Amino acid sequence: MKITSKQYALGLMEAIDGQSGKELDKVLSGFVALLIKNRDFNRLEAILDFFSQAYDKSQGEIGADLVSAFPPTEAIKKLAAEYISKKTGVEKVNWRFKEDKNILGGLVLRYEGRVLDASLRQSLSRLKEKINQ
Amino acid sequence: MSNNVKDYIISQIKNQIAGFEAEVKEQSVGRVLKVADGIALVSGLPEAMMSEIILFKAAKEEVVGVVLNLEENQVGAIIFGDYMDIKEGDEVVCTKRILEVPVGEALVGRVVDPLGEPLDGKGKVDTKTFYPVEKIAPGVITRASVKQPVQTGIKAIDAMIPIGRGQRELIIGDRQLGKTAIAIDAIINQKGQNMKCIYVAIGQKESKIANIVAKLEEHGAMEYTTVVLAGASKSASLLYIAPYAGCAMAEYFLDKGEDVLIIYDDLSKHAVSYREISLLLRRPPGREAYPGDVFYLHSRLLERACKLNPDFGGGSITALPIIETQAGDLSAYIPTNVISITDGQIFLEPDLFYQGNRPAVNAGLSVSRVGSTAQIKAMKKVAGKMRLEAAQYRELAAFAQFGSDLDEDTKNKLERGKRLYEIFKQDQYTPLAVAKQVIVYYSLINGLTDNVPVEKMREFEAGLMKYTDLNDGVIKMIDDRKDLDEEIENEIKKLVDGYKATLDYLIK
Repeated sequence: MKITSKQYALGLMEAIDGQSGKELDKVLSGFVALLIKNRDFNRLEAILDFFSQAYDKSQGEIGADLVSAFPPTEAIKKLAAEYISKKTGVEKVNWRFKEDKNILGGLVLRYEGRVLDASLRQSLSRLKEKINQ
Repeated sequence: MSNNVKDYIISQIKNQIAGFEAEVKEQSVGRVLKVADGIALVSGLPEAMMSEIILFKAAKEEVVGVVLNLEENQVGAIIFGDYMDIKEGDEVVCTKRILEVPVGEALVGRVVDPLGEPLDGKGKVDTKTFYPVEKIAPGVITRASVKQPVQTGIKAIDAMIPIGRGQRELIIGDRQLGKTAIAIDAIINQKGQNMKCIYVAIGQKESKIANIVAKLEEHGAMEYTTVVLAGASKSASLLYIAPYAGCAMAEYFLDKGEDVLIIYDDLSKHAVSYREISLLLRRPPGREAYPGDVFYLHSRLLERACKLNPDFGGGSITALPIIETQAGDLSAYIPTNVISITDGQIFLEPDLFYQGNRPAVNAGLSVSRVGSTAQIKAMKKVAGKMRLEAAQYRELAAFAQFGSDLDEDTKNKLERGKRLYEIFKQDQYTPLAVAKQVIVYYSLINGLTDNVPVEKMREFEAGLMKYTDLNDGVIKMIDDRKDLDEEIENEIKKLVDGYKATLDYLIK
């Protein structure tokens, strides 16, 4: 049966659990050897993506994007972090900030395949739709 | 413009803006990984449902798509709009809505695309009712047996291959043999028969559809007809949903207890477009490169045709799917599939067509599994004998080619058979009412036309019909009683004799 990228990543997570030093190296070289044997080396990037997600989650962390038109204030960061913690149950949010003048104002939050679009641009387009009706 | 009006408008706009609350909703998003020929692979979208509408946020505008494949980390979707605008990395959001189309009375008389958007320039389709495109067919408890006729107005079909309300009758044959013509004639003949018609054109030339719509309008048939058009230039995804969308529109009337006739023209092109989508979505190809579920593709569509029992409204959907064969090959993959799904088929044959027997219905290979229960009693009485005559004639005609030494009885049968095949010939756009068909067939099988020269048969028939219009007492009697009793038989004999008295070309 074909092993999916996600299964590889989760398998790796289990294998390295509690390992360190030389043993960890051994597990890792074993993992690479397995990928080569199964001819799945070209999927390494996808596997690592899944791995870093799963690892973050196991450590109570999550990666999230925060897009805003202006640099976000600390208060806003805190609010956004609280929102994500409430939704996902993780404690620490690793932010990736991005400035985008195109959204005009407000902010856009992205995490785990979900988006919260609270931008001014979105509100304006909603208003436009409503008036057009 | 007076100041009052201006103030009113301004205050209204202000109110609208003041009352606007920007609601912020969390949405499930994914990103486009790949776009190709009307399909897209999207990463993420963990909450996507099967056949859910998704929106591609392309640069210019939002493009609608529908989820068709759910995989571990990605979903495969078909795109209904302009896929040229969608780029890799564009955002895609779920809508939590299953694909649905507008339905209702407002669609009658319109030409729409498979998403219900008007194509006839007559303005917006004004309806608030939507039906899901994919729906499970009615179950066994809700159904009733097929016993009311659909009069197609085509003599050869109504007599020998009767179609009932709720039946699925396949029209099959090579290109250019008049498959669509039969379907269009059937639509035209539904006038005044309490039937809504839906014509679904899948991958047809738009010029052909323009002609068909013009013809339907000319005959007043657009008053009860909807045309669903996915033209040859449209993407495979639109062609793929067209018959399901048409069926959803029919189901609205079914739920109201009405009778609907739906024509899928044609399912070969539908299968081809589904093959295209499936291959692009990397589903494994099978025989003739069709995917494994190509049978289910058509069976789930045609199973939605049904006759409901009175407890469930008593409506019906009669389906006339059309299949185009290649060089008369009935045993190809898609034709055999659809033949086995439907309740019979009308097989059109090139030889008959080029001999001038039009419609070129092959009476031997065509069947209707519903049979004579879908005929009015009067037709049943004449048609039963006639099938026999037709079968005997075909056998004898082959035999008679070898020699001319035939006994009197055989000669008579041959003569009558020749006349019968003359009667089967019928021009396009001239459907014949069932009562008139009964009169024609009655006079033929009872020998009333034996002294009409074969080459004059069609002229005789046309004249007889005109004569009947002038003396329409018999027609009313047949329409009222739907049966052929002695009184009516005598009236028909009197009518035919009366007409024959005006002729000079009869054989003495």
